[in-house]
Amino acid sequence: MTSDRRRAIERGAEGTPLRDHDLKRGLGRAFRVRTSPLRPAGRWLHTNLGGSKVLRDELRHIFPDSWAFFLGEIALYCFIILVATGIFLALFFQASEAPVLYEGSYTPLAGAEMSIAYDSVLQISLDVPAGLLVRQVHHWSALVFVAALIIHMLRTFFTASYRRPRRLNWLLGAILLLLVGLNGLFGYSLPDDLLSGTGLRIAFSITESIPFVGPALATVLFGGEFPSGGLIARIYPVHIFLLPAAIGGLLGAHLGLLWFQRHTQFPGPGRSDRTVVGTPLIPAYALRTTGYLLIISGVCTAFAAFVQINPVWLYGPYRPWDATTAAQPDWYMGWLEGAVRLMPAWDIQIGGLLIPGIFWPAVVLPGLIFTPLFVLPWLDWVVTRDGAFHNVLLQPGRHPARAALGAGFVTFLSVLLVAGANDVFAFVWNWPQPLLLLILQILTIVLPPIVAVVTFALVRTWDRPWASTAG
Amino acid sequence: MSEQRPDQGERRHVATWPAGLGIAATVAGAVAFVVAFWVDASNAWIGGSLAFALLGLGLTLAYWGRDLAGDQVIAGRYPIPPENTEDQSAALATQLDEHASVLTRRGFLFKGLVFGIGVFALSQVVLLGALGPWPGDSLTTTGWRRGRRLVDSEGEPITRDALATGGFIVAFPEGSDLHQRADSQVALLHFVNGEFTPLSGRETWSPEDFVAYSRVCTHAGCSVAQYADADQVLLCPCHQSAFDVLNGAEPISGPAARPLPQLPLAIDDEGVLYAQSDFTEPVGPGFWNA
Amino acid sequence: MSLRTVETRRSERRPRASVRRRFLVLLCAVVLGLAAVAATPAASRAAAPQSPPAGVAPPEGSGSFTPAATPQPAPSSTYPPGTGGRIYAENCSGCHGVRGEGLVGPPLAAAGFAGLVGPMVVEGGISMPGFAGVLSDQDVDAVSAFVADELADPEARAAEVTPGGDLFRLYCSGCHSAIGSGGAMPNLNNAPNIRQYPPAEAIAAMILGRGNMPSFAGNTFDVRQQTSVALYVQVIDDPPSPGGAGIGYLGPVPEGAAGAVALLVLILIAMWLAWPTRKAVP
Repeated sequence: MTSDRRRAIERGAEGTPLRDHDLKRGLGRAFRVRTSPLRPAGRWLHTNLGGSKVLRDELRHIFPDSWAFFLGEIALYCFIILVATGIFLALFFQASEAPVLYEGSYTPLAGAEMSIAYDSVLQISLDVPAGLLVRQVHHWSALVFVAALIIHMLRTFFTASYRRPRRLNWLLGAILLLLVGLNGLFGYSLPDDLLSGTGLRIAFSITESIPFVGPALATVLFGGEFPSGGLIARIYPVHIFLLPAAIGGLLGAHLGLLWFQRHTQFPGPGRSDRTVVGTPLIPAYALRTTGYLLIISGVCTAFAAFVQINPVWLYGPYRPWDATTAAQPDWYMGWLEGAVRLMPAWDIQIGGLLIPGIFWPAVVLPGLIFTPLFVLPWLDWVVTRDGAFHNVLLQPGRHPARAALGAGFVTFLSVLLVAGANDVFAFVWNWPQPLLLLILQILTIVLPPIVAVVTFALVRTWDRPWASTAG
Repeated sequence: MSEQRPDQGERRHVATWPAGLGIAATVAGAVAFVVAFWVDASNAWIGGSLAFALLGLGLTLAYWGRDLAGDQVIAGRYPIPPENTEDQSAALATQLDEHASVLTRRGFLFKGLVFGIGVFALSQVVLLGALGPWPGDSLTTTGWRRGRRLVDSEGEPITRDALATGGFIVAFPEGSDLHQRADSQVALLHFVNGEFTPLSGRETWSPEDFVAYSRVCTHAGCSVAQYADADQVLLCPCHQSAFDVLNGAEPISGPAARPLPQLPLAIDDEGVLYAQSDFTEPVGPGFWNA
Repeated sequence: MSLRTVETRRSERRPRASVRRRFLVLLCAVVLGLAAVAATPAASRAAAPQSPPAGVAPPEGSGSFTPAATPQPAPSSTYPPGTGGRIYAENCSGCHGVRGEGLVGPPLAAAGFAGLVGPMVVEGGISMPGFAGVLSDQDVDAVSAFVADELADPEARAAEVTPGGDLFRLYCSGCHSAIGSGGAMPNLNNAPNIRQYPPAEAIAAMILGRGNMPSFAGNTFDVRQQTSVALYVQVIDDPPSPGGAGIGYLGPVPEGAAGAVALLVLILIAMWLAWPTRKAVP
């Protein structure tokens, strides 16, 4: 037998690459392994899954390529990082507001009275080895998670990827955005520090402001008048179990639909509504995406190593009579904070009944933003009357109306975001804060339509493909 | 070794040294991480080495998938739209109808079933009420009662020689616990130059020009912790509401619409300040039936 | 646009200006401020030891301590030369009084720790000159020990940092932020970044009050409480940051900006990853 023929036999019919564990140097020819260890694995799977051809086909599942399609992956992998780091944190965190005197290593708080929850977070941050690193990775990846979700959603909007048959998937994604934002809010409120406790107090007031049911809903949900003493214990299972389970389930459905329907693709050579072109799962895509997961972990870990986030020991424990300026929520709640600050003092008194002014920016506005967001694909159908199946994306640079609408919406939220930090900007830029507030109030009304019109004009005249796959 | 990016179909000579470098970084980072952990090094060292390892491994795998795996672009079929959709979905719909008819063909009974399920589902909503108490009077009362003395944050009673030159003290009812202190907190001010004029009906509330306003912001409940001494304005750091202390803590800017409630004060024989009664209106943010 | 710590020494009131000019001025101020900090602080403030520098008005405010209009001449010293008492008599008593009771400068009852006094002597404060070029390190140590041990109220030496933190978060952080970075107030009377001053300046500010800052001395804070607040200010003067760079100590705002940078990095890596195959044909 020639060595070529032997090698051909060993390679097998499918052309599986062969790895030769030739140990003849040390241990002799008897230990030479000629076959790949994947072969018995493949045989096992084939036998036990009833001879299905699906697995073989799905090994070569096709993923269209564009950097824009990595945005959802960033979000997915941040979720994985959050769960992994969250498990570590959950082993140390204690969700109780019962008071305790601090006995840890941070001397400026020695003997201070604080909740057990805050004490446990100080312990994680300052006394548990690598605890601060894990906590910071958790928080940084949460910030990146929501940012990636929003950019992913914008990409989906601008390329109209939500059209049939992916309308349900859009809805799942919008719900995921809401749940993730909510989970983030609960997450950074768990340490019961001055900054997040202030946020919970505001959340109580917002709930209270709802007409008819507000006060009852607030005391029922929060466990009594604020501070009820049981809020952290209530938020904890919601944050570590209820919402992650919901997010995981919806995410599974979201990814399942994506898998079955295949990912959309930009127009290009060989690509159509019937034919998908891209990278197969095994081996190239799997390698790339696993690499990307590790890269995302690496970037979040790098930030956690070198840039401090949420130093709760510097804020002190939450007490309802303490306060701090520069009191913002995490960035993804900044638009809500901005809306609350910009709203003028317009309480509505009807006889003995009151609709507080905070109701409109904090309850009505989110409803006005999220409701169209949920039903966007069906709104799109109402406008375009396009119910056909689409697997090819629109190029944003070719659709001025869509670009203008998206740009206006983003501008509106961005102005609100800046308004949420108006006291910080006023301080750093040394502007009078009331003046900055007035400017932002005007910009909220005026800037989105201006940006929309300008975007429309620019895209109309530019008219070049934005992410074209041609030439 | 250089890397070329020619058109599809040509052989390429792709460099492997980046992958080797990445693997070296992974190993170096992992070892450094273990060392840093065991010597209790700083967060920067533990995290930096871990990040180095993760990035090394990640970039290795990514580079492998991107460059070393060879040309890996293939074409396939989207599962939808399949041909003859109409026939197949009609067939599916008919099949579903057939199975559902077991229920639906018994018209009245089926409607009864739906009704029963609906009633049952709605009934479970009451479990929500188990989560927490109804408001009761908790939102309209505080820890202040007639005769409760004012104490500072360390529990010392506040006497008439406090604030001899202006400024403010955060005061609580004597003997209050944390929960009561939260909505009972007041900012005690002392006007020493005769500039304070009480609002009508409140002439007896400010003995010797000591004035106490609730410190729970009427906008969103934050502590109204800022006091601009020269402008004589209490401000809330959360959303920058401003309250004019010379004018019954009326809001003069910002999103708050209701003034801060004023606590009726008096001074007892020992010179200690005390409350004449609870606030005459609910403290904190407004609500429906305030 | 920088959201980093604005550690400058310029005054709090500014006229309005265009955004770019404002940013350039800010940048120059930061650079100059850093240069000033790097250099010997009092080199540009040559202080006449026996009288306050010309042009410094007695600090205004609603404080419980009203400074005298003019300093008194230095009394003849009863302390041996070279001791802390002698240095105090020759350099400090003109403003702070023979027994630290306060004249032009505030009383020293709360200066119960040499660690608080030393940096104040070296760097000076808002109204106080620095003595770095005038007194040697040993002189500074000697006079600090003298002030803390002899002139300060014994109550002040019993102060602890934890109650100081409690009081700081109750009275101070509402304007100055929990980490002392400062905060916006209407009419540009911003509460300054307190990290730019020596911690003992907090005692002076508490006693005197400044503009919109109320006075906290007298019956709001007793001496022990004043000192404990200053001890806590000393902690956040260089905030313990085991987690890494503080990025301005302004809370979630710079943190959100940094998160955006992280996402941008990841998007750039995604562009690199998808580059070869994005236009490929099978």
